[in-house]
Amino acid sequence: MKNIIQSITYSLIGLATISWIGIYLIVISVADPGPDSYIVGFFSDNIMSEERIQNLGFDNFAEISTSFFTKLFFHMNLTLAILTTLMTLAWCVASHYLNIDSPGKAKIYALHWLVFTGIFVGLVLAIVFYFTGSTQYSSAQAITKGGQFLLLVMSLLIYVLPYYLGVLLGTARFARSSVLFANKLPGGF
Amino acid sequence: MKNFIIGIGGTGAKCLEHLLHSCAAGLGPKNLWAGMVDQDEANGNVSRTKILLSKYMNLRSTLRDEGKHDLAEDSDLFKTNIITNNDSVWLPIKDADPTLKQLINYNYLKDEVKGLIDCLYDPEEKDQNLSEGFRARPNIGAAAMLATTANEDDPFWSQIYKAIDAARGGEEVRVFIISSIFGGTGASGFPNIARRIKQIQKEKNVTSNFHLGGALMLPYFNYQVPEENMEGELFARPEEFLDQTKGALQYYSKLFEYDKIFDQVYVTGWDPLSKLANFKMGGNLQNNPPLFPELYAALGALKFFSEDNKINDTQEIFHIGKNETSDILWSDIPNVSANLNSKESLSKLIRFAFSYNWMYGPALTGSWSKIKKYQNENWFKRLIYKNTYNDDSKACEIGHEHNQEIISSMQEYCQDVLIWITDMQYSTVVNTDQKMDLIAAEFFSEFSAKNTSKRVNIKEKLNSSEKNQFNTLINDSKNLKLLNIMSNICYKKVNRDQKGLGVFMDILFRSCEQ
Repeated sequence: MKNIIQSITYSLIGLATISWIGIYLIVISVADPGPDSYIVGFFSDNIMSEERIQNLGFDNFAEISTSFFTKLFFHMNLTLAILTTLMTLAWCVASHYLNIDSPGKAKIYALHWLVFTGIFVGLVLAIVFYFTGSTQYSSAQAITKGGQFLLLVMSLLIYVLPYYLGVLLGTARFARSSVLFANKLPGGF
Repeated sequence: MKNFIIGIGGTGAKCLEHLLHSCAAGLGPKNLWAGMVDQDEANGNVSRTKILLSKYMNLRSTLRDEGKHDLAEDSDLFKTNIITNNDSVWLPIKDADPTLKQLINYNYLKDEVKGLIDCLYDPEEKDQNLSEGFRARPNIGAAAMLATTANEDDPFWSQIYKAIDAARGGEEVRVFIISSIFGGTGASGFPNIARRIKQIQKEKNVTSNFHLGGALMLPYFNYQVPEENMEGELFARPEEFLDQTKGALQYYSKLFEYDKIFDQVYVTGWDPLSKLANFKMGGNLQNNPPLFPELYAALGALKFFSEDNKINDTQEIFHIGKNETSDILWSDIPNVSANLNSKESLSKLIRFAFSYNWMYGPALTGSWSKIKKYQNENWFKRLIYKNTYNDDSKACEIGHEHNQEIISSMQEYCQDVLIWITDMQYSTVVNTDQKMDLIAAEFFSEFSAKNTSKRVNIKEKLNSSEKNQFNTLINDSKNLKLLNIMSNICYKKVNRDQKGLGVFMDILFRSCEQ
């Protein structure tokens, strides 16, 4: 149990190195960044289509930014953050129970890790696609294809990278050969 | 504190075998001098213990070398520093192929003394070649023992003199003798050697700090003697064991009543008797299996040496009994002291032997090109690479000859442990109604009671389903899996004083604790 707690601690440290960006986004979303903020401008210029916004009956993105950030963007980031944390911790805890009973056996579980990571990336993509294409959030209809792709790339960077750092640091020592580059960590760590 | 143990005869040697494994498991005192007494030097049991003793001492000295490989002081693995003479076996009679007649110079005796000898010994007893022991004739053994001198120049007796001198110097000294009460060498050697030691103690006027203990094995096994070609031969007849024991017990009863020879005596027997398939009169073919009652004697010796054992002025006689059913369980094994749990330590050693023999030993065997595939694994990095890395050659030296020697010696010893416990488990109960349930051995070994040269055959490799049965290896505690051992070796803290392969060996040993 002591080793599992240690793993969880390390994985949370790994997660925190980058996932603070996700948390920051969640916080500013729920607090409503305001129509004049940088992030609203950025979304207006790169993610939203002015034409689609006007089709919705609004003049510009600033008018629907509150609804976009406090609902769609907040819910999407919160879901992604919870998923990332759960998946990272799940792998780190599960790695202690992998049946690595003899030298050289950890490598076999690289396949398990790849499948697990693949599922995680797939879920991230599915969540981003769901929120950006959902009819439940009217503001989603104003997102361009290019904007959807940009949100997808940003989400992958903001959530998959901390997941990787989390599992890199938090995987059980004896299972490190199953995680890409984890076996390069010092033996005493 | 100085400790000395003397195993007399085949039974004494077999008890020492149990004692050596117990010491390897950490149940022994800090230091111990061990010696055996047997006229039948080629006896299979004696030579088996002699080899084991030398393996123990070699492995221990290699793994307790502060310069290179060090398990460190705190480690329980091979805790006891066991030393012995150049030849660990003392032969009471040094001549080649001696007979009792030659030993007592029968032909030069006066007629009346000759007559007395004729009354005490049969003609075949007088002419019996004694190079293969005293063939269950304590009367011959007693004469032979008394005919030899116990002078300080003799390497065996010099140790006793040194022990008594150390006691006179104020150091606490404990001497323990183990032998069978039946048979020849043991039955004759036990009282005679004990009395000789006491005599030296009196001569040296040592009244304190010196303690003598002993374990007497009452009959605990028998065997079928083949009918053919045995006419006129002198050998130990199992049907005589009980009568011999009765006579010997009467003798000891009187001896202990009038003279305090021992401070503590441990008496052990077994009912029903274990049935051995192997009958050999003596020599290297007499290779009897390790039996459970001998473990009692060995643990008795370790209890005697324990610092918790306060020896008082009265002569104490201990006995032990197992549970009343026909099952022999871990709970029947007594603890050495309040701090030394026999089950925990022995089961730790057995798990260590298993995991080393089939998991880690093979992974560490061979040249660097074969071993390097593990170099990125945490256990290897932390315990092997770092501690066998040579700064001058900038390379990990695990594949070098000197390290490989240690790895293969440890594997050999681990196989000895597995064979010992398996043989004891099967041989103690074979052809009886008893059931011994200490370990699950069937998945890694095969037992053949009739194949006396190799009763236990342990498998060279285990498949994954056999490896998965590791958690059932020790009965009564079925939770530790090989996965837990792998996890433990990656997380157990390395002692700062440990060096070289001592780091890995101790961590693996500690990782095998339930």
